[in-house]
Amino acid sequence: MSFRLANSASRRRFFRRALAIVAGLPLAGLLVSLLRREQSRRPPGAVSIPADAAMGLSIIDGAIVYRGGDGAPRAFSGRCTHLGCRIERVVGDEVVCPCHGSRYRADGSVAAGPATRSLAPMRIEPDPASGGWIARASS
Amino acid sequence: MSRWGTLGDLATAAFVIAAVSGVAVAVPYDPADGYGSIAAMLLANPAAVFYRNLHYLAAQACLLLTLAHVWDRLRAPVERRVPRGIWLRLALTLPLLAFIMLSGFLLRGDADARQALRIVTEATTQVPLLGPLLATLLFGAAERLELIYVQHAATATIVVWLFVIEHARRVWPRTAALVAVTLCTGVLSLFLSPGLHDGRDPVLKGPWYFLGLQEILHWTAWPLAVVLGGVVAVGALYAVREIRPARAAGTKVALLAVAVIYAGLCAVGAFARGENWAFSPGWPAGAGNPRAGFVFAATPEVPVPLPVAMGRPEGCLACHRGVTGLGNSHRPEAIGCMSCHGGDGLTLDKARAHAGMDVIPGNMATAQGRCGQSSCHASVVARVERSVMATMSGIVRVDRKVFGEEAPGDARAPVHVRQLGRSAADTHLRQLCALCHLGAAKETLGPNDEGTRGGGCNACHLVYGPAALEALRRYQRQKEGGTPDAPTVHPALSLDIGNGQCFGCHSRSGRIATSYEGWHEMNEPPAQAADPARPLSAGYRVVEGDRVFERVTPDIHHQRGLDCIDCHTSAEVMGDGVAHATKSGQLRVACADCHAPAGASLPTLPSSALDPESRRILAIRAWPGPAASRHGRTAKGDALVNVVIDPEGRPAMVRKRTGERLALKPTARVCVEGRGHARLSCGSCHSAWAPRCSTCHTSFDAAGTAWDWIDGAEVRGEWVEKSGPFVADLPTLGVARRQSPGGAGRDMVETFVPGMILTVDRPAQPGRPAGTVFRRLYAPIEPHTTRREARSCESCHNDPVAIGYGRGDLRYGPTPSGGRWRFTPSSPRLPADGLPADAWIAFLGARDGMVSTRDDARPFAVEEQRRILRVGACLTCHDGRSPVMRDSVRNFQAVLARRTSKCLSPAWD
Repeated sequence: MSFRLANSASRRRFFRRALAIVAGLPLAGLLVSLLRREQSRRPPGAVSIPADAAMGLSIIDGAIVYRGGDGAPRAFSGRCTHLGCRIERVVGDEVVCPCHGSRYRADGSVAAGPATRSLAPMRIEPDPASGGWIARASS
Repeated sequence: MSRWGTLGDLATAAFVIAAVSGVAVAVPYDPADGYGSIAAMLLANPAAVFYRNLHYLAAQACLLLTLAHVWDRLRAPVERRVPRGIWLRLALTLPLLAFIMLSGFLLRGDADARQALRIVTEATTQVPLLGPLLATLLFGAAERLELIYVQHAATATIVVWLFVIEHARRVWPRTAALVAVTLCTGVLSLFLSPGLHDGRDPVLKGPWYFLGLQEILHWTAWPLAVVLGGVVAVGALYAVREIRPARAAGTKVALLAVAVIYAGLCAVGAFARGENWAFSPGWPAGAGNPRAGFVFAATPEVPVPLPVAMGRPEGCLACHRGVTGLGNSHRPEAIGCMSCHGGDGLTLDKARAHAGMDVIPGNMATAQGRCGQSSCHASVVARVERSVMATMSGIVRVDRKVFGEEAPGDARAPVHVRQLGRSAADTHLRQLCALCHLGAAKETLGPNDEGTRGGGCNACHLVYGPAALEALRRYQRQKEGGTPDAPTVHPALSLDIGNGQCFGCHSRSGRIATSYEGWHEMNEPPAQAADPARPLSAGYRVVEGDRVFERVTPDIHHQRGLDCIDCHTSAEVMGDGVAHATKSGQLRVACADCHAPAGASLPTLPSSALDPESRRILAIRAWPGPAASRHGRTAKGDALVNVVIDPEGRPAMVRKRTGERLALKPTARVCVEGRGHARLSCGSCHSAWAPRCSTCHTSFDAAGTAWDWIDGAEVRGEWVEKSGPFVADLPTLGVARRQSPGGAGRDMVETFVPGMILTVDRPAQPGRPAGTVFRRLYAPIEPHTTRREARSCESCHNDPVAIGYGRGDLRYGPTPSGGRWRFTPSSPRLPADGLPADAWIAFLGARDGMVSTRDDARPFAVEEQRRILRVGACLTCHDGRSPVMRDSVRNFQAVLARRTSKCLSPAWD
C-alpha cells in the first residue's frame, strides 16, 4: 500500500512537472522572443559635432572627440570598454572613466586599466547642414 | 530570542516598513524622470522627503539585519533543521535582496545611479548564454527606469516577501519588532536624507554596500569573475546545509572572512577614494552621500514652478532671484548658482543649502570642477593648469639653478610650484616667490587690486563693475550689523580684462606692468612718501605695500591706449596646452606679428579659417563696424583676432575692450637695411629703459619665522632679501637663442638686466655644509618700455652698460700702436669674482658657465664686443645720423674701405 501510494505520488509529480514543462517551454520561448525584440529597439548612436568644437580632447553628447592641429575631428564612443560606463571627463591629454578609473588617450587607446580594449571608433561624416560633422557608431 | 524577537523578526519588520513607505514615495515619484521628481520632493515636499528617508533607512536596516540574522543562524547552527527547498530559497533571498537594494539605488536616476545602471547592465550581459536576455529582463534595453521600477516595487519585493513568509511562517512581523524598527528609522528619517548626485562632483560612487565591488572592479579587467564570485558565495551558503558539518564549519568561516574583507573594501571606497581614484582619506561629503538636516526645517515659500537651471531643479534661485551683472554666458537663469558655487541646491533650508559652498569659485584648486566642467571650459582649464603662470616653472628652475640644486637632466624639464620640497632653494621659493602664481587662492571677496596675486580664473576674468562693488559694500555693511541681504549684483566673469588684473603679479620682479605705464620703483623714495598728510605730486605713485614709483617714460603702446590683452593672446596667456619649462617657451606673439617689415605685408588668414576659440571670442566681443574678412596671424600660426585687414589691405589693431581701431604701421626702412643690424630684436633698439637692480644679498635666519605660501603656515627659519639700488636705465644687450617655428633657432641681440647678482648664505642641509653662493646672472627681459624712436647708436656702441661692463667711463683714444678703448668702472669690484658690482662681463673679457638665468642666453663674446666697439670708435667722430654711419649699417666693410688717414682704427693687443 505504502509502495503504491509512493508510486502514485511519484507519478503525479511526474505528470505535474511534465505539464509544467509543456506549458512553460512555449512561454519561455515567447519571453525570449519578447526580450530579443526589445534589444533590437536600441537606436544607433549618432552625435553632431559642431564646426566650432573645441580643439584637443572634448566630450560631445557622450562621444569622445579629438581635434588635432589640422582641425579634423576623430570621434570615439564614450562608452568605457570595461563595464560600459559613460566617460564624462577630460583630464589633461586623457579621458577618464569615473566608475573604475580606466584612462584612454586621444587616439582611443588604453592608457591605464582596468579596461583592456580601446574605445570604439566612430565614423565621421561632414554635415553640410551645420558645417560640422556627424559621428556615427561603427557597425 | 529577545523581547523584540530574533534578528530575523527585526529584518522582516524593516522589510515591511520599507515596502509600506515605498507606497507613499511612489505617489510623487516619476520613473520617467527619477532625478527630477526626487529633486522636486527635496525642494518642495518635506513629507515626501520623510517617507523617502524612511524607505531608504528601513531598507538599509533590513539589509544589515538580514546579514546579521544569517550569521546568527549559521553560528547556531540550525541550517539542517530547515527543509532543503526553503533553505535554497533563503539562500536566493540574499541576491534578491541585493537586487531590490540596487534597483532602489538605480531609481534615484542621478549621476551615480545612471552609471551604476550601465555597469550592472553590462556585467549581467557578460554572463554566458542568458546574460543579454537577463539584462534586458531586469533592466530593460534603453537605460530607462520604468521596467526597473516594476521589478523593484513589485516582482522582487513580492518574491522576497513570499520567501520570508514561507520561512518565518507568519505574514506580519512581531509587533514589538515593528515598533522598535519604526521608532528607530522614523526618528532618523527626520534628520538623515539619502543623497542625490547631480553630476557636478567628479567622484562617482555606487551604494555603500557595493563600494567594495567597485574597488574590486577597479583592479580587474574581468568583471565576469566578480559575478562568478557572487554565485560561488551564494552556492557556498546553500552548500553548508548539504555538506558534512566539519566542512560546513570551515565554509562558514570562509564566508565570514570574505564578508569582513569585503566590508573593509567598502570602507576604503567610502572613506579613502577621491577624484580619479586618488587616495583621499576623509569623511565622504559628495552630493551622492546621505546628508543631515531637519526635514521639516522652516524654509522660504516654495516657488511654482520650481526654478530650473541646466535642466535640473535648483533651489538657490528661489532665494537669489534677479541677480544681474554676470553677462549672458553666465547668467544664473541659464547655469544656476550651483554650477559655480556648489552647495546644496536641493534644499530651501539656508544652512543646508550653503553648507560646503564655494564662495569664491575659480581658484585653481577647484577650477576643474567649477569652470572646467565638461560642459563649460574643460579644455581651457586644462591648458591653464599647465601654463607657466600656474606652474612658475621658469622661476622655480632658475632658483634651484642659482642654489646649485638643479639635478643633471633637469635643464629642460618643466616643474610645478606645488611640487616644491624643503631644500634651501625650495624654502626660499616658498617664502619669497610662491605667492605670485595662479594657484595662490583668492580668499576674500572684492575686486582684484594692486595687492592681488593668484586666484586661478579670477585673476583675469573676475571683474567688479561699480554696481557690483556697491552691492558688495552694502552686503558687508549689513553683515557687520547683523543679517545681510544677499547681493543682487554679481561681479562679471568677463573678457573685459584691464591692466589692473595683471598688476598684482607683474608689478614685481621684471615690473613690466608698471614699466609699461611709465612708473619706476624707487628704493629711496622722497621723505614725505610715508606721510599721508603730505601727498606726493603727480610724478609719484604709491602702491600697495608702500612701494613708491616715480613717473618715467611709458610704453608707446600704453600711450596709444592699448591694454595688455591687446597684444597677449589667450594661447599665450592661458597656455597652449604644453607644460613649458620656461616662460620663453610659452611666448607666442612678437612685434613683427603686428608691424610688418618695411616693404612687406603682415601674414594673415581668412576669417573662415579662424579656430573655434577665436570665433567664439569674436562673437562675444561683437566689435562695432564691419566684420573683417582677414585677420592677422602670428609667426607661430595663431590667429590674432584683433588684427584686422581692411578691403584695401591695410592692417589695423582693434582694441579688444573698446572696439577702437588703430592703424598698424610697418617698421622703419632702417630696421631692415643691410646686414649690420640683422640680428637685433626690435626691443634692443626701441626699449627706452628697464628697471635695473644690480646687487642683492639673500641670507637665512634660522631663528626667524616666515610665511610659507605653499603650506599657508608660519614656519621656522626665514629667508631675508636685501636689495641694492634700483635705477631706470637703458637695458644691457646680450645674445639669446630664439627658436623659430620649425627651425633650429638663431642668435638674436636682446635686452637684458642684472637678474641675479647676488650672494646667498645657504644653510647647512643633509649632505651639504652651509656655504655662500655667489652668482652673476643677467636675465633677458622685454621691458615693455617701447618707444617709436630708437636708442642712439652711441647708446649701444659707446656705452659700457649696453655692452655689459656696467657703469663707468668708456673712453677711446689714440696710442702709438693705434686707437685704444679703455674702461674705468664706477662700481666697486666684488671680491667674489673681481668684476665691477654691476657688470656682466669684464671689459673685453669672456665668461662662460652660468652667466644668465636662461641657458640659451649669454653676454657678447670678445669678438662681438670688438665689432661693437669698432663701430663705436667711428662714432667718437661721426654722428650716428651722419650719412657715413647710415652707410655703415648697410655695408660696414665698404665704409671701412674708404676710410681716410684721419680714421683711427682700434687695436686690440
